[in-house]
Amino acid sequence: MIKFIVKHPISVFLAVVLHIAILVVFSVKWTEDTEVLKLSTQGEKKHEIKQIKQIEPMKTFTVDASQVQAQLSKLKADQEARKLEQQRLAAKTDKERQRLKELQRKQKLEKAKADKAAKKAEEQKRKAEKERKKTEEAKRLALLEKKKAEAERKKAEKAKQAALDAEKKTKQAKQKAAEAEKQRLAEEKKKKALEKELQDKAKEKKALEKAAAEAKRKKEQQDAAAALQRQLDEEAAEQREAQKRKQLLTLRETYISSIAAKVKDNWRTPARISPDAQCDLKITQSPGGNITSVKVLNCNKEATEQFKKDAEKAVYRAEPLPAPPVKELFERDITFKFKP
Amino acid sequence: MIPLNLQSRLINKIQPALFSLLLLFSLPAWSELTIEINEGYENALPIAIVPFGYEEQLKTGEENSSAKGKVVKAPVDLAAIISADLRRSGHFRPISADSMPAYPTDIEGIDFIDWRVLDIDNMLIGKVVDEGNGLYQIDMRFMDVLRKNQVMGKRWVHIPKDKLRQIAHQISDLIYEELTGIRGAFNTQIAYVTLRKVSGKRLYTLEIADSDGFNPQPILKSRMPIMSPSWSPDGSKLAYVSFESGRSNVVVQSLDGKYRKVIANFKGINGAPAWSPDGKKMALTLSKAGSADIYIMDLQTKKLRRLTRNWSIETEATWAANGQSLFFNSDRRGQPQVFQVFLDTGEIRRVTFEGKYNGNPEISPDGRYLAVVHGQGGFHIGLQDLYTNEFTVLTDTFLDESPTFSPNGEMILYAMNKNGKGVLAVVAIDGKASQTLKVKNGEVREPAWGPYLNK
Repeated sequence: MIKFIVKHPISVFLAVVLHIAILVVFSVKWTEDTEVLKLSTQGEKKHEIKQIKQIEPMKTFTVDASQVQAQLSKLKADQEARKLEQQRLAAKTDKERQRLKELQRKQKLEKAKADKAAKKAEEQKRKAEKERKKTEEAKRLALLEKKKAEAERKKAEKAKQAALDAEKKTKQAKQKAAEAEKQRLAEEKKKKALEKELQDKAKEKKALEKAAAEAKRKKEQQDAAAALQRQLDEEAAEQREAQKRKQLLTLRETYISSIAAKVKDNWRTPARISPDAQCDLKITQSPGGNITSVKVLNCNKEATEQFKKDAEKAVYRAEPLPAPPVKELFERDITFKFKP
Repeated sequence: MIPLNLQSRLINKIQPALFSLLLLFSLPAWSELTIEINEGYENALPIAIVPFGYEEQLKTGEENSSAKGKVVKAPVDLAAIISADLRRSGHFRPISADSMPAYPTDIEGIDFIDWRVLDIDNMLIGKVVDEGNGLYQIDMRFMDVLRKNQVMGKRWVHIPKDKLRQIAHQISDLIYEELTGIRGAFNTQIAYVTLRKVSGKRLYTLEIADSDGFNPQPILKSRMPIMSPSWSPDGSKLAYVSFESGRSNVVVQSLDGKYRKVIANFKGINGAPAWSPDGKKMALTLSKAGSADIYIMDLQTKKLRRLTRNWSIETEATWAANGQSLFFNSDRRGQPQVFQVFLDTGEIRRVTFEGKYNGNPEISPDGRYLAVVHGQGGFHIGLQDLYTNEFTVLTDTFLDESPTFSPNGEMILYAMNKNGKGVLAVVAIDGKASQTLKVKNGEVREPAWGPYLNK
């Protein structure tokens, strides 16, 4: 037997599996009416459970409450439909049992006939079965896979939807955000641009200001230089003026003493005059040096009337009075101390 | 009482005169004094005394104006007299008529610039108008050339011909006073004694003349010496010493000769009369008491007051200007010096100290100056300022004597010797101007300058 098993592991495995499967079907019959039905319901249930089981983690997704509600109602409806289907199927199964009994009898007949062939065919059938099962399994697996994939897909879809929604939202948000961002960016850009502009402007302004400041500074510098120059010029002018004034003052002194000297030169009198006689002579003259008037003032006691008279004459005799060395020094009224 | 030697010295002093008096008797007509100006001021003022115009007063109008071309001349050249006066003072330098650009006789005729270029400050213009009947009208204008205006103008009318010179001197006085501030003394007279030899005999004549030596008029002629003439303050009389009686007498005589009286005929010397400033007293030198002393005679009462009592010679008294003291010459200290005696107290003080000899004192009209004959290796006129006691010798002439002040005190007239002959001289009190007055064929001494003729 072990040799057989070793010789045909697959067939053994399959037989074991078939037996186990029959056992399972029988065990399920205790709870369920038919294996097939069970199988189908099992498949459905399995799917259901799987679905529910698989929904479980969906809870983590944020799903609309209405959607969940709809889903639940749908599931309830499905259960109702399935009950009806089971009742219909039970009836159908009774009929099938008769038919199967017939068939089994026929099969027993045929079995005997085809025992030998059957051995070979069995092998082949097992092989095909195996192959079919394999294919079925593959098909089921594929279906499962497909369902799974569907669920997966649905889930994915949902998730995708949610994701999409979320994404959409996110997208929207993102978009919004992006838009906001964009706007912000735009604004920022604008702001930046504005800022830049402002900055530029500021820069420009600054530059201008700087230029202006520079210009101002330069101008100030120039002004300062000019002012300094001006001050220097003024100082020089002032100095010149002062010098000129001093010169003029000296010249004026010379001028007046030249007049006094000429008057003294022209002093002559037959009168006996004290050598100490002294008066101030206030002469009013015309620009030509001609005498307009003479006043004898502030005489000391030695100055007699005759002295005053003669002093006046000396002035007239000195006519025309010497011209000033420079025109501006001309003075209409000249006063000086006269002591012959 | 007078020591013989001193008395003889005094006599000796008079003797030459006494002697000469005997020699002279008859003489020719006196001649005018000629004045020689020796010295003037360096800075004498140029002045133009323009010859006066002469007009005959219009009686028939037209006729006379056509007679302008006729050479008619004033009887007296007033301008010449005035010029000489001013020149003589030493202070002025009148320009000659030849150098004048024109002879204007009124202001309109003066082109001042023409005169200004001649360095003329002042000019005198004027004219003599024959009023007829030997009377004349004289107009004068004294012009300030510098200021081109008239300083003064004056008109004299009905002036007889023989007074025209006096008018000229008056004009001189006015100009002098205008330009110096001091009254002029041109219109004054001088008295002097001339000595001439006539037929080998000496003739003394007491004369008076105008200050310029013109119009000499004899007051007294004598073969005997005439000495020490002294003017009465009013200028109407002269007192003098005459030897006509053979000895010295003091005589007072009016200029017109109507009054003549011997006031002192005492024993001994009667000399050196000097009229008091008020004209009421006469100071005299008398030796009736033995020695020559100073006396004062009251002319009214003829009473004498003896001022000095000394064995020495006191003589040649002169009155102080205020009449309260007299200055006299005394040799009481051995050599003649000037002393002063005060009438109220009789106190005597010595005044002169310069040199060995200071005699013949004369006081200036203002009382400030004392002029003396100063003997110091010759005799010169010295002047002492009584205010400051400063003493100066004014002259460098020979044997100067008898100084006498002009009434304005500016000049001193004195006698001196030139070439052995007595002549007169004038010197300014500052010594800077001088002139000599001479007479032809004779000598002149004993001058006395008279007072102002019109007070």
